[in-house]
Amino acid sequence: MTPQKVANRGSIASRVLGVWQRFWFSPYPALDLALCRIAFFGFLYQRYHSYDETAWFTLKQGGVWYPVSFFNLGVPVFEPDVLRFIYWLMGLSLLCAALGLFSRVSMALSFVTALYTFALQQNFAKYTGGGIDVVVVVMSGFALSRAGDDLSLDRFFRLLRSERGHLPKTWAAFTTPVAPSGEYLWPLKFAWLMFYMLYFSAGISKLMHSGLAWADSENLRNSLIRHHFSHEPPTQWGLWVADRVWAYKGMGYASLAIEVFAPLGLFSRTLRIPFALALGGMQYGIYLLLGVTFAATKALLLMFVPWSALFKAAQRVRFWAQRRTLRQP
Amino acid sequence: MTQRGDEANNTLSSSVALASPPPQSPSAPRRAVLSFAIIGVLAAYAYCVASGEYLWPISPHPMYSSIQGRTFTTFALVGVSEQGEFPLRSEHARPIGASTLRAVLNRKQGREHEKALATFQKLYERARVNNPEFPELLGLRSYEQVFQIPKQGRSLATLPKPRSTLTSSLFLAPLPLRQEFKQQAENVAPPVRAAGAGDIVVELHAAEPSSTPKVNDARASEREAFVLSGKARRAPQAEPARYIDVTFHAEAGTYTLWLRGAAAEKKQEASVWVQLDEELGTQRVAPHDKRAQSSGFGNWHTGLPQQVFAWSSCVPGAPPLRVSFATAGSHRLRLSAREGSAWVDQLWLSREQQEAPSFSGAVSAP
Repeated sequence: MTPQKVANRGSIASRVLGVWQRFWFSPYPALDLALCRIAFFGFLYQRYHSYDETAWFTLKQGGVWYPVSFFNLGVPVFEPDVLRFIYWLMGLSLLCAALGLFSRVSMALSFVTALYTFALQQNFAKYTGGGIDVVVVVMSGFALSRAGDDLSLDRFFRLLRSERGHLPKTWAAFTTPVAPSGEYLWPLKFAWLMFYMLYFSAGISKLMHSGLAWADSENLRNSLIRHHFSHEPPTQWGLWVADRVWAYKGMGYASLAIEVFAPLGLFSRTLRIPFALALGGMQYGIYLLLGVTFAATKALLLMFVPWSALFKAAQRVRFWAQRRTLRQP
Repeated sequence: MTQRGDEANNTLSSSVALASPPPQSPSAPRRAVLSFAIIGVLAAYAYCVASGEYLWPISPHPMYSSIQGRTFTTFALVGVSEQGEFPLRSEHARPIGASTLRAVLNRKQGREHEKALATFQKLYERARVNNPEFPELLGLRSYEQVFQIPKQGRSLATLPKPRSTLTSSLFLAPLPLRQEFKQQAENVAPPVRAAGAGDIVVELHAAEPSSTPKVNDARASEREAFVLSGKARRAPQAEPARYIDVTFHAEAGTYTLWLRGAAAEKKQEASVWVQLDEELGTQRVAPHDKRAQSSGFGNWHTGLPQQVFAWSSCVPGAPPLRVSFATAGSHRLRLSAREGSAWVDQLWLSREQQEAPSFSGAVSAP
């Protein structure tokens, strides 16, 4: 190999490394990640704080048990009392993570407890949870992140201590933005990546198992009619679609295309929101036509909401309203 | 999100009171660890998608990836209450969903299927504690349903009903019957009822002499019951060692076949074979029904206490089996051991009684 080639090789490697580092670790404001943390863990807390499904234990005792890889590693199924404690701990850590109290510990704890809790419900002949597996992976990202640096009780209490209990000063410092850092970008991008992976892997699985015939056959028609029997879709639109070749084949191709090309949203800011909306819309369409829900993916969609823009818009509206009040005689 | 910049926003610059303010970019070792973690997750996804394996929490998400045909088979699980059958939904068997119920039944066969029903019944009873409006369960039944989707071009306005076959049944005795079982446990015979007009009641103690042993029991009709016991068999023997032969006269018509008996021993099956007329001396079963072939008769071990007399046709609580006679005349019927050990004392061919009797006492001839 010539020295020139070696040099080129080195420069290509360093260029790739540079692109990778800029992609994941460019400095970024802390506010977005903080607001996503509140929305994500707040949603999960609201949904799972009263989770108390000790009946899984009853099912296992009854011989209904098809363990997933996680439980084949020797992870035990605890007695109902221990399960109840784990669920309580999960609820508490989700709440603390949303509030930003003991952020790093609570986010790590919510990941560990959710990893166990939601793994348990996968051992009964069917993979369930509507995307909860991806939510757990995203939680692992939060567990390693510094998402609690801004808009957190941790920060407030720290400021309160440093300002010796002076509340106005503490509040003024609390509303001052945290300096941007690469620490606040990668967890967001990781969450987006996982959201796209959910659909990308589903799209690739379809192509691997069935090829383009998945869309270019009566497959979707039969699925729509089948769910009319086996599920309870809220509308009869599925049958309307199943009656029209152009509708179900078009829908099949569109679904495949959206799923397979979804990761493009990660690399293009222009495509990010359209893809997220298309995938969210597809999910809602599945509910309307097939009666199948993927509730947990709502938590992932919350990561795409432009929270800081909304936050700033709300601040502007409040400021404008205050000025108007002052001008009035 | 479009208003967000991936680059640093220089107007947001002060770092205030963080325990350890983060540098603009994570340190090199931390970047390396995070990069390896991200690449590891991506590699795990690639492996799962390529192999179809689940490595919780990484999944290949293969749902709906196989092509659906126009014919499909599924299981329907229904609860039985005094008002009739009702479909078992997710809220009835929390935390297990309706589609998971079907998936479990799909994997379970035979006795395992019945065990799964018993577990689902426990879940229902748990759910009923918080939802008293749920009806009292008299039993659970699972049906295998075959759906045939019409071809393209045919209107979907009226979709065809599925072909349903009962595959398993869990019988939970209704309250009055449970009261009688309690009395029977104290050796009190339940009251005798009169059979309907045109019904045929056969007292088995008067059957032709055979080597089949008998047991004396105050609760049995005429205080005597036969004990049919033997090894589990897939079909009746042409010449069984232990059997009961009875002869009776019947008018032409269709009768529902009921057998009064009990499971003689704990944790043991208790079912018998029934053969009629020309089937005697062969390995065929009467009536010529898939359920009679697969489950036999009686099955008092299913959902009933042990050593308690009760009426059963095929399986307690399941729809009964019927026999038809084209002409009036004399008929021969043979009962022989199928599996486990059963006590039997009365045979009742009824024109009226088409639902499982809500009493356990013997019947008297009309």
